[in-house]
Amino acid sequence: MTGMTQRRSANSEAAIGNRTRAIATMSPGEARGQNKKLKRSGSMPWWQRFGLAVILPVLFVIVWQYVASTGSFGGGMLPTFTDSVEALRVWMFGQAGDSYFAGGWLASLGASALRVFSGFSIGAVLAITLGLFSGVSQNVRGMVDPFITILRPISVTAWVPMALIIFGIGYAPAIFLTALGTFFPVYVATLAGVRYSEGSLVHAARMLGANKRQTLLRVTLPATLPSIATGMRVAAGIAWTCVVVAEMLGAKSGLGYTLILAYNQFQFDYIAAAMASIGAAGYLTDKLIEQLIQRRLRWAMTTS
Amino acid sequence: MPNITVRGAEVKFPGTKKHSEPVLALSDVNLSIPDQQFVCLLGPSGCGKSTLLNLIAGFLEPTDGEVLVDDEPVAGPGPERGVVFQSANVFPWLTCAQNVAFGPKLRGKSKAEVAEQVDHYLERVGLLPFKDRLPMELSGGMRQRLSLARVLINDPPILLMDEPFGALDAQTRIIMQELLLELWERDRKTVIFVTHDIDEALLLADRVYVMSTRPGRILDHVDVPLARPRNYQVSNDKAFRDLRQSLFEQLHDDAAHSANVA
Ligand SMILES: Nc1ncnc2c1ncn2[C@@H]1O[C@H](COP(=O)(O)OP(=O)(O)OP(=O)(O)O)[C@@H](O)[C@H]1O
Ligand SMILES: [Mg+2]
Repeated sequence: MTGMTQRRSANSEAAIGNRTRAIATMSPGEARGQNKKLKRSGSMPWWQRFGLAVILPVLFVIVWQYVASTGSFGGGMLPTFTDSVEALRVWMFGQAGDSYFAGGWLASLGASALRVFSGFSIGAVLAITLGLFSGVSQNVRGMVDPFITILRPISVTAWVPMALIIFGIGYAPAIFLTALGTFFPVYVATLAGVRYSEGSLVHAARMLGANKRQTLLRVTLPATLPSIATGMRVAAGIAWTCVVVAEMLGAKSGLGYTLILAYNQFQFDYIAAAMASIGAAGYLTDKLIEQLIQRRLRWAMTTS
Repeated sequence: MPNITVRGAEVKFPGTKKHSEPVLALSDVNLSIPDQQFVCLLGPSGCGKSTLLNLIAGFLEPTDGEVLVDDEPVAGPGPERGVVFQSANVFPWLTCAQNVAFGPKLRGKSKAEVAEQVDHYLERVGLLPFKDRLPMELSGGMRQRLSLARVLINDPPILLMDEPFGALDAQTRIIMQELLLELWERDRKTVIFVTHDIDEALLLADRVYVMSTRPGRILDHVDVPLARPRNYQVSNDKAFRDLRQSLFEQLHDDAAHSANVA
């Protein structure tokens, strides 16, 4: 999903900024209509939206439960849905002794969330700063852009061994890899946003008396925020992917670590529980960012 | 003492495609605008009105000739030359009050210090009740008034306006023109006002420069001897109608001429 954006050349980035800007700030509800009235008449009642949303998960669970209990897949080792729910319950609320994993859920989630938060923050701050400077300065862009274009195709997975060599086992490699995964989409979105927002508003700021630094901070940065927000939403999803990969190979805590440990210990129902936890965490992160965007970027929600 | 001087200004835009010809947007433009004069630039679309305004605003450098303000060459935009753009161009993430406060705050004034001034200028353009609204909640005319207010608070001796009312309906336009006249009568500034509307030019200006296209240049200028303060009634004057007729013929002849050449 980011691959598309990343492969574009710098030339077409302005155009992407334009399009992504609209996407960033629209919730599915908003996308249906620009003004309140349209939105109300065009959108569905909550129960209909909820009904539609649960059809596929319910079907999925039924098929999963059936397939797993007949043992016709995965050599009979596939955990059933009900076993996995029970595993999740023990993992969350169980007493020590119930299972190796009992009661460890919150700590695992916390460890992963901390890594995601640190890596995401570091990556995003670096990307926004560098993206802004690349956007406004041809020299910076000429220096930074080619280097980043070379680094971009190297996936985060490919970086794992190197990260372990450099940082050892623990928090550091996971934070590094998450920051790396966050950096690229946010950088590309920021750069595209700056190049799109350059021009008339910058002229306006200059004629009102803003110097270069003031123009960058008070006009270019806010004008680029919708684009940055799009990049951050994409990056948040990537950050959870990165942290799990990093924890599977180079950590002794976290949801990814639990996932690989459950595999190694043949506790396959915990694999499903860990996967569901990762999905939920990623979903909540996205909702959180969406809320923040909607509150801060109300001004960008109209096309005028 | 002349305030704005343009001498032999030429602007040539390089072709955007590899083999396209460069565009000669302005050729040998000469202007001398005294302090506190209200000047209109009148001409058909594409004759270089915006280009000339951008030169004086400092958004653009001439490829030849010079642009002087108070005998100093223009080096970039500055707060002593306020610009009102064709599309309002206000900052969409700031409320009306914050938009107006933008200029003073750049000079380190605090919110509290400028609050009174901000209210004053919002009042003058009739936007005080909307001070905490975002620009997206305003109509086009209101946004244009906001963009005027954020410039006026800087109290620039020079005001550059690029077809600021071009996109407005006839009624709103008249209201805006009279508002501008009223503001200008109160504290005189040097104004360069771009328009392609003869009536607008005659209503507002002390002097109208007529421009011609391909290449953009100044054909002629006409002084408007109508008494001030003016309002919309002035269009009933005989002098007004005579001037309108002669300007119309001038623009018409020029258009016919370029149509023959092309
Ligand atoms: N950035 C640019 N690059 C190339 N050509 C340009 C550029 N800006 C303007 N031109 C050309 O210069 C000429 C004058 O343009 P300008 O915008 O000054 O016209 P105008 O008189 O303001 O027209 P309008 O009334 O339509 O706004 C036009 O032929 C236009 O194509
Ligand atoms: Mg123009």
